[in-house]
Parts: sequence; C-alpha cells; structure tokens
Amino acid sequence: MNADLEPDDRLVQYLLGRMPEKERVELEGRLLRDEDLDQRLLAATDDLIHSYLVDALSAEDRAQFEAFFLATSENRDQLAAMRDFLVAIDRVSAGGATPAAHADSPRSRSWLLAAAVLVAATVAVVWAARRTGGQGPRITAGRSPSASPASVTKSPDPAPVASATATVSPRAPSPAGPAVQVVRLAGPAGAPVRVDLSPETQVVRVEVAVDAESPSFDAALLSGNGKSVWTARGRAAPATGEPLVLEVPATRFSSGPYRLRVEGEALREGTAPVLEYPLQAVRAVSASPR
Amino acid sequence: MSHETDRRWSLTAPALERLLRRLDGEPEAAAREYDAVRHKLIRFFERRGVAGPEVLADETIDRVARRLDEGERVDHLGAYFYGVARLVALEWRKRRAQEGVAQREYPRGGPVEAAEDRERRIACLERCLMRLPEESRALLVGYYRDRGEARKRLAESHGITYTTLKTRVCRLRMGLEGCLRDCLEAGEPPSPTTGRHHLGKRP
Repeated sequence: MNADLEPDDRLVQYLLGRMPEKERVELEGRLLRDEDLDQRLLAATDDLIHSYLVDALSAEDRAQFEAFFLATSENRDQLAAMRDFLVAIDRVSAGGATPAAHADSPRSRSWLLAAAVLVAATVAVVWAARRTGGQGPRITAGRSPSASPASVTKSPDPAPVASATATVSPRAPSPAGPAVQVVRLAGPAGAPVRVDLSPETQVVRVEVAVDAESPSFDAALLSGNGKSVWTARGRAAPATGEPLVLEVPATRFSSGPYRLRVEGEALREGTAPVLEYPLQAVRAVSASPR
Repeated sequence: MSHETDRRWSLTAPALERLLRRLDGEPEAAAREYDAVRHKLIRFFERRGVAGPEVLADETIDRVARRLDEGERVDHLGAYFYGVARLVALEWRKRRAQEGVAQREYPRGGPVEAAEDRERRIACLERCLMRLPEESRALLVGYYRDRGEARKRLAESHGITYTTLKTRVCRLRMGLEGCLRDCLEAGEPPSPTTGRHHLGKRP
C-alpha cells in the first residue's frame, strides 16, 4: 500500500473488492449512518484513482483496480473525471494561479531557463519542419509562460503520412512542480513525435487514438535498442471517442529515440491491431541558478 | 434538469407501512428512523454533488420500500439503502449526461468532437478552480502536486491531520462539480483565466 493511500487501507481494500463479504456488508451498513466514514471513502476513492493515474499502484493493485474497480461504469466515469481534473489542476498550476511565494526561487529560475531551452528547441523543430516541407509531426506547444502557442501543421498532402499529433505541455515555474507531459498520438505513425521532459516532469501522459473494437490493450515502450522499458497490460478500452491513456513515469525516459507499441486485444480469430509510434525524448538539462 | 426520476411505481400505503415496521417495531420510533434515514440519504447525495438530493433520497426510499413490499429478503437494511442510493446516484449521472448530449446544438460523436467536449470540460474546470478562494485552490494544487510524506507535511503546515486534509481536498474537488455543471450547461466559452488551452485541434 503506498503512502498516498494511508491511513484508509481497509477502505482501499473495499474499493478493490478484496474485503470479505461479511465485512463489506457491515461497512456498507455503516456508510450511510457514519458521514465521516462515507466522506473518507470518497477521499480514498479519489486517492486510489489518482494513484492509478500516476502509476503509483503496485502491479497487483493495478491489476485488481482494472479488473474490479473499473468494471463499473460509475467508477470509469470517476476515472475520466479525475483525469480531466488533473489536467485542469496542471494548467491552473502552470498558469501561476497558485501563490507565487517561490516565484524568484532558484528552482523556478532554473525552470525558466529550462523552459527557454524548450521553447528554443520547439522553434528549431518548427523551423526544420518548414525547411523540409513540413515532414515532422504537428506540434503544438502552448503551455510555456514565456511563449505564445506555436504550431506547425504538416503537409497539405491529401494523404497524410505523418499525422501523429503531439501536444506538449511544459510546466510553469510554480512550486506546484510535478509536470504531467501530455502527448497525443492520432492517425498513422510517421515522423518521431518529440517528448520534451523538464526536470519537473514526473509523468508522461500519452493519449492514443485507438479503434473502438478492441476490449483491451497492451502497451510497451521500447528504447532505441528495442529493449522494453515500460509495459502496461490489459488496459480497459476507453469510452467511445476517448483516447487510450497511458501514464508513463518520466523516469523511464532518457534523451533518445523510443517506440511506443500499442496492441489491441484481438476479437475472435482476428488479427490483433497494432499501433507503433516513434518518439524522440528530449530531456532539458537542469539549469543551475548560479 | 435531471431531477426527474424513472418512477414507474409509486409508494403505496402498505409498502410504506412495511418499511416503517422494518425500521422499528414501534410507530413513533419508526417515524423518527424514517426521517433519520431520509436525512442521511440527502447528505449522501449532497456529498456526491448531486443536484436535487431530496428528490433522489425519496426515490431511494421508494425503491427500498418497493423491494420490501415485493417480498425481497433484505438482511442488512442499512447496506441495502446504501447500495440503492449508489445506484440512484449513478442513474442520475447517466441521465444528466444523456441530457447534455441531447442539448447540444449539433450532432457529434466522432473522436474529434469527443476531444472538444473533453477540452470544454477541462476549460470549465479551470474556470471553476480559478473561482475558488486562493487558499482552497492552493490546497488542491499542493495536494495533487505532492505525494506521500510531502502530503503529510502539507497537512501539518495547515495544522490539520492527514485524514482531515484528504477529506477537505475531496470535498473541494467534489464541490467543483456543481460549478462544472453550471459552466457546461451555460455553454460558457472555454476561456479560463489561465488562457492556455490550445491542445490538439482547435481553431
């Protein structure tokens, strides 16, 4: 049990369907009478979902979460709601809406420098894309405090060959450090999609447009030499129209090329649909304030 | 919106009587217990950010009364009420979502539209977060920024227990749902104060 789920681990066991029947019924009987207990259950539910989204559950808990907790549409809705909420929190945080007590701190200054590097890198990619007739992926960088959104849309070609969409969200210099870097992948794989990682980035949230047929998906992140550095198995299919969301700990990335492989569960005798996207991870060097 | 329940059955006098007997053998005590259960149910729905909690509390009571009237064996009435209340809340959310789809101005359904809908929800959430008092917003941001021991330190810095911090944050988050609902229903444009949400395809 991770520390974020303390001290309500019994409630977490209940949520994960591990509580013995007798104890479960007794608990549910108390939940209506005991408002405090019910409120703690709601909080434990939020924390459990959050832990899942940031990949902080053990493999066993994650499997149980997916098999039991996500079996109900109620809980899947809560997962989606929390996902949206975290993005909003991330944006508000990045927008400097929280108290700027550390606005001039060494840490934030180092972030500013890192952000400047990131913006420069983005400009370079944009420039390169234009120079080469736009062979790179569409890149939208719109989260930097010091840069207005810049975008390049590749290729007016009616038959797009590199239509992966990467949306990159560098973090703002706030004490609310942990960045969730969002990368959106849609359409057929093409040129490598850049994944920028600031020193504050903790999680890379990859949103993949997947078909509506497969009931579940396996995913693997492969390094340049083909070695698997991260895997996810049996992820439930997203709701129709929603992307498959993969939360990859940022620590799994170094600067360099990667491939993300997403394999759908085959139906009946069919062939398992497979998507592969080349990624290019770029770690911003942590800048010294001095 | 969404206050109409799927009632195809109305509470009858015999069913109510059976429920009261089940709550307590003595009529006055049963009436008090009925009021207590109803109050608990209202609070249950309020905690979940449901609009019109009284209506749904009555709906829950009616369903339980109906089951008892139909002879269903219910060993643990409290747990049964809880399970039915959860179901009623879920159905309310689904109705609300369906109404939201029906109220849209033009047909949608593809992945791009879904992404735009999601973007609108997130923009509304941003707007709602910005409307919170600064202290509350900072608490939410701090909580979801931190993990593990850092969260415990956050609780200490606010002079509250870790458990209290968790429930306070949870209440704050759920409190945003009403604001989110209002924002989506009002069709407010996604232009929160942070002003940065050009993710993916947006004109």
